[in-house]
Amino acid sequence: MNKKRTRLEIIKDILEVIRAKSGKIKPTHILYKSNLSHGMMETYLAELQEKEFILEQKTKTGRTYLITPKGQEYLAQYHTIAQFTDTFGLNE
Amino acid sequence: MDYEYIIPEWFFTFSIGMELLYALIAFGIAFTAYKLYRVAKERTLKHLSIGFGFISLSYLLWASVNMVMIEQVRAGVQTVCLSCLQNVGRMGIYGHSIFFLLGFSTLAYATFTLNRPSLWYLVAGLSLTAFAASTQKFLTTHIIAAFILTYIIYHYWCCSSTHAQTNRTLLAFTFLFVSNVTFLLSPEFYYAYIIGHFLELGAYALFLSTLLTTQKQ
Repeated sequence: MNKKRTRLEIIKDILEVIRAKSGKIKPTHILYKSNLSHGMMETYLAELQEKEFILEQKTKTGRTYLITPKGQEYLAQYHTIAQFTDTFGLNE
Repeated sequence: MDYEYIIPEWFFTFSIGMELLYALIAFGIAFTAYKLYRVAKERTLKHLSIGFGFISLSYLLWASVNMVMIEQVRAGVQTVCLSCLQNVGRMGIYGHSIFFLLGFSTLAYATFTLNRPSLWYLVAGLSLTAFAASTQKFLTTHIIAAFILTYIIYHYWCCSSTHAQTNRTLLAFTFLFVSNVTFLLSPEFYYAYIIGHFLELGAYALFLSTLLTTQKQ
């Protein structure tokens, strides 16, 4: 059985999914790729918007999400962040 | 009763150097955690940064008080007590204890899964209230710190079963716990002050090696 993902890993996975789609994606694609329930996905998307890692764009066809430079920076530094939080026992 | 400990004269300068070293290492951890917090915006990183920041400040104040005392120690005085110190020295002692307790309270809060500032208020508030109400400030500071450390050690012991990387951090906090217990004996036995410092040295050496390991990878 796979190990349960930490919060930081889930955030990384969502941002990577958005980046892989040329930085712009619909919520349904995030849902399929991120292995999350709909409720959890909405919670994380709200959190990522609050942290300014992603931007929501409302179009005629629905919502899309774009990754921001702060989101890119998180992905670039993810390994260091994860290593530090694991070592200091901070992963929730 | 006065806040006091016994320092052998030959160890005095070493102890100041060690306290400054601990302040530097704690500041390094606080700074690194803060830099990562700026990127990840995770509250646990923020609280770890604040906790080690308080601890760094507490060691800086302790070293400052001992520097104020240095002339008296060279004159042969070995016992540090509140009534011997001028107001600046007393403020340094109280400041050291307050920031020491705030630091460990904040580190304990950083390990909580609940994000409730009222919990931090409860832990820090109870610690400082006990300190303020006590007539034996030195003993109370280290008793409270040791108690909080038992919780922190338990948290890291639980973590170490899933994350082997926390073993070094667990050992570091264990050294800190033992050092705080050892300091309880320093009003009576001067070597307890020395042993306590060396145990802290072990703890901060482990913290430093952990910090450098996370930076390398």
